[in-house]
Amino acid sequence: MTSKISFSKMTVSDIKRRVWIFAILVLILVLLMPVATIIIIDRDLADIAKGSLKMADLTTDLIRWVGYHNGGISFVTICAAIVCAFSGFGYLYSRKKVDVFHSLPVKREKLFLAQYISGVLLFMIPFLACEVLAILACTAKGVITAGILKAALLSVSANFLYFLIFYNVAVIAIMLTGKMLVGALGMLVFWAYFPMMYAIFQGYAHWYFNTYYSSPWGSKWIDWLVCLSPVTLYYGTQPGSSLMGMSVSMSAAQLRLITVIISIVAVVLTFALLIWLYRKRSSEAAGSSMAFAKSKPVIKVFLMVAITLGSGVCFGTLANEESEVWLVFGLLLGLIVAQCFIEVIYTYDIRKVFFHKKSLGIAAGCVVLITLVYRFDLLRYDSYQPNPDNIESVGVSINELDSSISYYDMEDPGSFDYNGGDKYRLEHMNLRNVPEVYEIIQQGIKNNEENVTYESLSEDETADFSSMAVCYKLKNGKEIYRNYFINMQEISDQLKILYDQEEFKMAQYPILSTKAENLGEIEVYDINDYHAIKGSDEDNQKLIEAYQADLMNLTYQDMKENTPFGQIIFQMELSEGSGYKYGIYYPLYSACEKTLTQLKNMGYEIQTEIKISDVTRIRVLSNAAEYWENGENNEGQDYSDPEEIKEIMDAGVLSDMEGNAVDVDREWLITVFYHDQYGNEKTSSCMFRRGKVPAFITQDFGKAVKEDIEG
Amino acid sequence: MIEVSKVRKVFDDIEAVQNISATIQEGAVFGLVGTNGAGKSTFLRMLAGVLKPDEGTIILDGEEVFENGKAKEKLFFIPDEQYFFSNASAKDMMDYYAMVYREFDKDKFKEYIGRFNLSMERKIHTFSKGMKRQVSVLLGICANTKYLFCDETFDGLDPVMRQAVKSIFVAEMMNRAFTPVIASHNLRELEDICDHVGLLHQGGVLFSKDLEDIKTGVHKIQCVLPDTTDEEQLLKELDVLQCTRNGSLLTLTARGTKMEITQRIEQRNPVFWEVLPLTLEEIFISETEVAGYDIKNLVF
Repeated sequence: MTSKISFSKMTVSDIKRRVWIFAILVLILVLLMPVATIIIIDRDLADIAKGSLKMADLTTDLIRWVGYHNGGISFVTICAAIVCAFSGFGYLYSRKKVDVFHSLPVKREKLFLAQYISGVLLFMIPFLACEVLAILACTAKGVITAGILKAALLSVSANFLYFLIFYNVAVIAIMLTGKMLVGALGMLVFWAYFPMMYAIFQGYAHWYFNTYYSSPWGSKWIDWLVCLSPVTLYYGTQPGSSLMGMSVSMSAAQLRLITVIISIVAVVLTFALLIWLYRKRSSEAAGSSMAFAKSKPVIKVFLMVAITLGSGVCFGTLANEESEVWLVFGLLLGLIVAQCFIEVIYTYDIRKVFFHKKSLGIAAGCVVLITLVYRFDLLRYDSYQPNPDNIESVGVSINELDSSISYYDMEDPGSFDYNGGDKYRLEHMNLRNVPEVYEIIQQGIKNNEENVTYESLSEDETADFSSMAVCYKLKNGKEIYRNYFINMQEISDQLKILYDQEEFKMAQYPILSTKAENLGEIEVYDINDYHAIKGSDEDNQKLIEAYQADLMNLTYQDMKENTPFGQIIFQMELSEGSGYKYGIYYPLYSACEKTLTQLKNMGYEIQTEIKISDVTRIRVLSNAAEYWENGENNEGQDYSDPEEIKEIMDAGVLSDMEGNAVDVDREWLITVFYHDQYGNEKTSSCMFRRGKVPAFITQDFGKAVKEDIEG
Repeated sequence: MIEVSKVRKVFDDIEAVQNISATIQEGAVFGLVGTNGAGKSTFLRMLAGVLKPDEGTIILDGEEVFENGKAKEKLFFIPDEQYFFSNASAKDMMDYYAMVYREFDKDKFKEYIGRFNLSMERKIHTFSKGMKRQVSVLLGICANTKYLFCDETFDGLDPVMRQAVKSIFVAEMMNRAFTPVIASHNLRELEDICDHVGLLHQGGVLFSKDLEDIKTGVHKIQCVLPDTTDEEQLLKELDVLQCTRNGSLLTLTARGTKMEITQRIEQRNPVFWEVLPLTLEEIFISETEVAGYDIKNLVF
């Protein structure tokens, strides 16, 4: 008999009662979607008519606006999820409302589903309608493209998915609590708890482990914690972001796909969980802080551990990373504050803050245990070395080597990475049977055992060192990461051999594995000039192949001895049809003979050096403390003698290129004043190579210091 | 028929209802009376399937009530604090309940709303407390369910409306199978409508009897006896619930039939004696006093 009560009627009835949400969403979304789309189209069409914009720019603007990555829409989606959840299930907080709803001859599951679905429809109907209206606006204005349609479809799917995640999480928070304020806090806890724990564990690891390697794509189990937050899941699908907790062996596109799969699984699991909670939740929970008495101590311990550890990390970091006194102070304060805070929320009685000592004791025990594990490296993290028999291959990424190379993944348009190439190198480098790698790693392990770190060395000494990320790819599929501190001078011989490995080169320089047809316009900067290379497709292809050959043949010795004099830039459109172009920068060395010859064949005269005859003077300035501390210093010293100029130029590296140069002494700044081929006066900044500072410079600066002191 | 067997409900560390057993017969008005905190609301909420008993069973016409749509279709619960959807009118509430209760009689509801001088279209939040009560009761009656559970429903109704509602109850009982269960601490309200009364005290049932049986089973007597020996003997012989003395005038509330009590008194050769009418409230006070709820302790 009960089943005859129409489910759809119940859903419609609930929507009618919450029609105010519908009205507000319609108003906001109409303005944000169709109206704003029309404004963008009209504005861009006017600019196109003026010639200041291309049609492709309009398409790009529209893809951004109607697509998934519209921040305004994301914000509305999240807010709508919260409002729909609390307006739909907020009745569980009120005894009088529960009395009415739960006495009705309707199964609670049915009641729940009607409320749940009406909440979803309240968001989805206006959202879908406004997205359709935006597309119709594009069609009516004649600017619709397949890319825009695809972006709109993606936007609808993704926003629906993330609406459901935020909605489910908010409803779960309501199910677990009995008061609106506590429910709102609970929802925030779901958002923040696991990323917070992740940050705390990272903080402790950074603090206590010298070889800890942190990256936004680590594959440690702990990194998966962040997948348990709707906020980080949502962030994980944004362009340029890769979800923390994912394996390095995946591309950003794969990571996003995995994020989406995790999100779908999360929707299903959270939905199952909240149905279960709804069935288990007793009506008398309305008005209590927590709906399930048994969950109270468990939740309390989890929260207390996070708050206490977080407080310890905050105080320890703010005071001084070496100060364990402040860490302990932070832990104690955090423990007391957490105990009081949670008990007040639970009991609403300030006199009962130190009741429930058992859970306080368990939380304190967990905090002490975790702290001791990190403090005394009880799990032997720093001293870990995989058994060589278990290693499939090794990837290394040395910070000081080619730090300004651009890394990208052709298979993943959104993966352009401006922030260094660790991920690319470690992902693509699979060194096998290269004993020199293990020798380098051994040096890193030895340095760690001897506590040689950035902090333990003087500024001068650290100049010889670099950090090196290592990824052990084990035969069982696991990836283990460590970060070592290595002395580049001491491993110079090993680096020479390593650098000559094809496997190393291919991972170090993505250009070597990029097909010529994927590289767009080419530009070259030499000492003086910028050249937009305008050659035939055949010539361009030859140029690319020449550069790839030069790079493959480049030795570590060449890098040490050759000064990069310029850059070759490939403008790449990684995402087809997106309109975005990325400049892929690579250094040009004088050893790049094939490249220079091809450029010459194409009619480009590339200046590989500043002619000494063109240099009018050189000003040298030192950053070294010894030249600063004792003198008022120091506007630098000028050199105009041709012999001195030649000696300085021979030892210098252009500052723009220092990221691609080996052994640069960053304590010296050199400004070269010269005339270009057109007679214009120009300046270039340089640095000395390490150990190549001419003797007359150090003598002159030593003398200057002495005069300063005496004066 | 509703059969309640050994029902227990605990909230945190408070035992709101302890081991209650009762039977509510069809076609009679069941009054649920009790002190504040006796567990009346909790008991009614369990009867209505809102709360799940921790122990025991509640069987309504052979069906467990909790999460059983078939059983719940036969009941309508009017809680002590009514809830109407925000901004809803009587018509909106009627439409909602008509959707949920298949037997809801819209015409009857409209007719009653007119008779009570209420408006179908006016927002309920603009109604007075008493008017809201009237709407709740009318919704409950027009749902046409077999059982109607009313928690302190008559609070806030003026005497005229109270009488009107009572007459509607009577009319409904005459026309169809209708069993109201009314919880109240206002015994005067129940006295002229209830057929059966259950007295709850501190979570347990003190008694559950027909009102007629209660009234014929408890009596109030005023008497003057010749000497204290007779008084002591009489007090021993009777099942005295309450005894007060004013000079030589002894006022007793005792269990037993009028005939039994009369015989006992006459055997003591009283100087003067008479049986006084006893209100339900007096029975309630006497019974709860016996159970340790001494009203004198609360009166300063």
